[in-house]
Amino acid sequence: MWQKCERLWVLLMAVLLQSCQETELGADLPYEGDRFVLYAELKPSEVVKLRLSKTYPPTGKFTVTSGLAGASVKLFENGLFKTQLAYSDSGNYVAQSGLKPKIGFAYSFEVALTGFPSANTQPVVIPQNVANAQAVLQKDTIASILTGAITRQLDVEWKDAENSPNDYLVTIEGLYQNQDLGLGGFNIGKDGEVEDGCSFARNRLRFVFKDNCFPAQTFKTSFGLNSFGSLQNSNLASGTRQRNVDFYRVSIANVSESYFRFLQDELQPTDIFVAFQLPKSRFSNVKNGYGIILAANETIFFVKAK
Amino acid sequence: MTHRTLLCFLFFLLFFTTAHSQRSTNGFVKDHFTGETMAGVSVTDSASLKKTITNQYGFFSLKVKIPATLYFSSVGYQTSTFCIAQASDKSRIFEIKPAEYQLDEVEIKATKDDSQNQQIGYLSIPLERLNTIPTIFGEKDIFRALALTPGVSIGNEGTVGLFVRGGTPDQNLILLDEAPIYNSAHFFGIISVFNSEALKKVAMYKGILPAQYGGRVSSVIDVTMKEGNTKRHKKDHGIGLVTSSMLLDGPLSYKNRERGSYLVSGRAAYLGLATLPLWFLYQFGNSQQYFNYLLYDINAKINYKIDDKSRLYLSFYNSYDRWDSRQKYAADSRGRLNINWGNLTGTLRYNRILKPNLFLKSVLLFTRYQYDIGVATSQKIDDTFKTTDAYSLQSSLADVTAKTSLEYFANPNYTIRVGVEATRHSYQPTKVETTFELDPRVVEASNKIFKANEFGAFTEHEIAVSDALRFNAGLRLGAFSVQQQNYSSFEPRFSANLILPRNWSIKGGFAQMRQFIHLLSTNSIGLPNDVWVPATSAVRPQFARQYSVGVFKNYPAQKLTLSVEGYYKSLKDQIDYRTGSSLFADAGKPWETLIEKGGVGRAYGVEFFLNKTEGNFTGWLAYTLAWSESKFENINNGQWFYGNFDRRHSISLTGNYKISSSVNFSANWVFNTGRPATVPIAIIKANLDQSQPEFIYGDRNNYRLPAYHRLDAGINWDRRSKRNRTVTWSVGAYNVYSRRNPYYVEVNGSKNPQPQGTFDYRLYSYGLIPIIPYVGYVAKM
Repeated sequence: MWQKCERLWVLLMAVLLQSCQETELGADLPYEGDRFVLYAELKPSEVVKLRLSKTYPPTGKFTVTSGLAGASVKLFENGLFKTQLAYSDSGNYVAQSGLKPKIGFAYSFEVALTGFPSANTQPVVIPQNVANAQAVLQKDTIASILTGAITRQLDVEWKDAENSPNDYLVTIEGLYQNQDLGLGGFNIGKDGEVEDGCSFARNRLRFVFKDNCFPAQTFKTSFGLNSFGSLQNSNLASGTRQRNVDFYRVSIANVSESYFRFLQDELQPTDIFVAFQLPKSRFSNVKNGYGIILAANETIFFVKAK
Repeated sequence: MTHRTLLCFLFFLLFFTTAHSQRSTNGFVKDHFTGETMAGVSVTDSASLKKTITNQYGFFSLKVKIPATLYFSSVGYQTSTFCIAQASDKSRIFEIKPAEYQLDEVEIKATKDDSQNQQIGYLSIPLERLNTIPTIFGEKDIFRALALTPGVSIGNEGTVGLFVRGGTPDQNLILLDEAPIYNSAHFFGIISVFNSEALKKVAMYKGILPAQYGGRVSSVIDVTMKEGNTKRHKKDHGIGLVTSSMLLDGPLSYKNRERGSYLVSGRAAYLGLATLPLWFLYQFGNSQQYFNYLLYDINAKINYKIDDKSRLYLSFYNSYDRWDSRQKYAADSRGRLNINWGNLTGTLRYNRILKPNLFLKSVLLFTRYQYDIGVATSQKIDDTFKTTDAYSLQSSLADVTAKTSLEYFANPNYTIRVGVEATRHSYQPTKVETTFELDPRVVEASNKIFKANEFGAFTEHEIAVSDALRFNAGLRLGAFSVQQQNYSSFEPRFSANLILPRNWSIKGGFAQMRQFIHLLSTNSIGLPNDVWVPATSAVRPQFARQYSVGVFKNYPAQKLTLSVEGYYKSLKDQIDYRTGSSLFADAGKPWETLIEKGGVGRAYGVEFFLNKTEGNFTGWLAYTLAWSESKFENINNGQWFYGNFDRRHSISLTGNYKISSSVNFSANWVFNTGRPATVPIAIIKANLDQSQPEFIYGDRNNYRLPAYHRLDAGINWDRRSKRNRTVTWSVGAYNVYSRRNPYYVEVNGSKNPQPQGTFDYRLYSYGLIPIIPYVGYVAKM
C-alpha cells in the first residue's frame, strides 16, 4: 500500500509542480572519518560470525572493499570475555572453537584496528525456541491481489512465550530444486508496508510481528503465496527463469527487539519525499560505529507445494 | 494564578469602572464612495491638537470643546475637515474621500501618524499596495506580500506558511473577522486562502502582541473582510491563470442605505475543467493516470444597523481544496489517492455604543479545519470495479468561542480595553479508517478525540503621557483545561513609543505569551499533511517571551521612513517529530508517541526597513539578520541546532513605479540564506546481501541548502471600459530569471560507475518552480 501511495504522491507532485530540475551542487558533504561497521546474526544453530566493514564518505567516488581484515574481534558472553574471533574471508570473523551462542545468554563484541576508533556493541540475548509452530499450505487457490498469479494460502501459527520481550519474524522463500525463486506474496488482511505498530512487511517476504501486541497468545496469520517465481542467481535469460515452486521454506523466528527496530528503519524517504519527511537514523546497537548485532532463534519448515 | 496576579487584574478592572465618563464627540469614519467603515484613521481636534485613532469598526471617541473642528487623515485619503457645532450623544458619520489627485497633501501627515504612533512590531500595508506586488500565477496574495517585509519569510519555494521572527507557522494567529484560520494554504500552499478582493484590512503584530490577542506566541495577522458597499450595488470580477473570482456587494435597502450592507465573494480554480479530457482518456481510453483539482473559497458578510447605537455583523467563510488522482495498475486493478482540506468559519458580532465613549463588542464564532488523505485500490469483479482495500487518515479540529470586550475612551490620552472569552475546542489529530485489520486498541488510541476548554481575560491600557510619550500596558490571563489537566497563563504585555525631535522616535516592548496548541510538521513548507494537536496531560503548552526595541526616523520631504528593530525571543515546551517519524509513515501510531517534547528555542535578530510610502515611486528595502535555534534532549545529543526556519540573511527589494496615471510597473527581488537540511554523513554497506549502500544520517539540520533568490516583475494597466468599469490588466512573471531554487537536496549515486565495484555519489539540488508568466484581468464597477 505504501508503495502504491508513494507512486501516487510522486505523480501528484510531478504534475503539480512540474518536473524537478536536478542540479549537481558540486559540493562534498562533511565526512566524520572512517568508522567500523559491524553486522552479525546470532543463532543457536550457527557458529558465531561477524562481518566487519567500514564507512565511506557520503559524497565522492570510492571502491567498496570486501571487508576489513586484521582487526581484533572479541566476543563476550554475559559480560565476560569468551573468545577471540579469527578472520576468515571478505571481512568475516568466525569463532574458531566452533562456538554457537546459547539460548538465554547475552552476547556482545569489542572490535579494534589501527586507524579506527574502537567499537563495542550492546549485548543481545539469544531468544527461546518458537513454541507450537505450524505452517500449513491450503489446497485450494485463493483470490489474490497479485495480478495474474495462482495463489495459495499458507496458514502459520505459533505460541508467544510468556515473559519474553522478543518479537517474531516470518520469512518465506520459494524453492525450485533447492534454488531460490523470487516469490510474490502478501500477508492476508494486511497490505504492503503499512505499519500499524504491531506488524509490518519488508521485501523478500519478511513479516515482522510485535510481541507485546499479542501477549502470551497463539499467533495465527495467513499468507497468500505465488505458486511460481523467477530463479534468482541464474544465468538464464530473463524471460526463461519462471519455475513452479517445489517447496516453500518457512522460517518462524523468535527475534531480538533489535531486529524489529533495524528492519523498521529500512525504508528511507527518497525523491521528493525528502522534502516532506525527516530521514531516519537507522537503529544501531554498535557504540562508536555503525551496523547491527541481531539475535534470532528460528524454526524452519519445508512445505511441499501442491 | 497567584494572589498578586489576581490583585493586579482586579486593580485594572476597578480603575476601569471608576474612570472618567465625560461626554465626548463620537462617531464612525467611512469611505465616501463605498460606505465601508475605516479602521486606523487619525482624528485630530484642531484646537487642542489631541488625537485618536478609529478602532477596527471605524469608531472613535474624542473629548472636544464645542464648537470644534476635526481633521481626519489616513493613507490614500484626502485630509478632511468637519466642523461640529452642537454637542450630541448621537454617533455621527464622517465620510472621507480617497486622495486621488490630492495624494501629496495627505501623505506627509498620514505617514508621520502611522509610523510614529504605532507600536513596535506593528505592520499594516494598504491592500491596494499589496495588490500591486507581482506574485506566482498573478494571484494577489497578502501572505506573499507580507513575506517581503522584514522579519517575515516563507518556508520554501511556492508556499504561504509564514515564519515570523524565527517562529513556526503554527505560532501565527491568523484571524479572519475574529475567527482563527488554521490552514492558510490553497493549492498545496502555492496561493493563500484569502481572496484579497474581499478584504478590507490586514494588520500584523510581530511578537509584541497587544493583550487583546492570545493563544499564539509569534505573531497576529488580523484580516478584516469588507462589509459591503452601502451606497450602491456592485459586481466585480477577476480572471486569472489559475482562478476566477466574483464579488457582489451593496446596500441591504436602497430606501435606507444606512440600514446595512451585504457582500458575497467567491473564487474558484478551473483546473477541474482543464483536466476533464484526462478523465475521458482515463475512463475510456488508454491513459494510465488521471488527476483533478478543485479549489474554491467563499466569503459572505452582512452588516445590519439595529439602531443608531447597535450594529450586527454576520460573516461566513469557507475554503476547500480537493486533489483526486487515479492510476491503472493493470487491466483489472486501479488505485486512487485523494487529499482534501478546508476551513469553515462563521462569526456573529454585536457592537453597541453604550456611552459616547464606551464601545461594546460581543462575538460568537465557530471555526473548523479538517483534512484527509485517502488511498484505495479497486479490483474488477463482475465487470465493475469494487474497492478492495482502502485507507484514510483524517485530522480535524473545531472551536466554538464566545467573547465580549469593552473599549473605553476615557480621554484623548487614555483608552482602556477589557474583555473575556471562552472557547470549547474539539481536536481529533488523527482518525484512521481502513479495510485492513488493524489492532482495535491501536486504532482506538490513534483516533482519540480531545475536548478542551480555554478561557481568557485581558485588560489593555493605551496611555499618552505627553505628546511625545505613549505606551500600551496590558495583561492577559488564560486557562486551558484538557484531560483533567489544567494549565494557566500569565501574560504581561508592554510597549512604549518615545517621539524625539527631528522626526526620530524610539520604541520598545515586552510580551509574554502562551499557546495551548501545537502543529506537528514534517516539513518546513506548510503542506496540509501538518497536523494540529492540543496541549495534553503529556504535552505542555508552548511559552514565549519576547523583547524588542527599535529606532525610527521619518524623512517627510523624501517621503521615506527608516526603522531598525532588534528582538530576542525565548521559547519553551516546543515539540518536534522524533527523527524518522511522521504521522503518514507511522500511520496508526498515537501522535504523542512520535514526538520529542520539552524543547526550548531562541530567536534573535535585527531588522532594517527603508520604506518609501508615497509618490510615483513607492517601495521598500528590507533586510533581516536573524538566528533561530532549538534544543531537544533527544535530538543532536541535546545540543542547540538551527531550526528549519532559520535564515541568516533575508533581503527584499520591492518597488512600484507609476509610469502614468493608468500604468504602473512593479518588481521585487528576494534573497534568503538557504534553509537548514539533514544530509548523510557517511555511507555503509553492512551486509554483503545489500544491493545498495545505505546512508548514515548525522545531526538534525547539519547542512544548509544553497541560497534562495528570485525576481518577479509585472505591469498593471487600468482603463475605463465601455460600461464605465475600471478594468485592470496585469501582465508579468514570477521568477523572471528562472532560478530553480532548491526544494530539497539529495545524495544520488551514479548508475553505471566505472570501474565496476566503485560507487560515485554526488549531492544534487532539486528545484521546482521555473519562470511562470501570468496575465490577469479584474473589472470593477
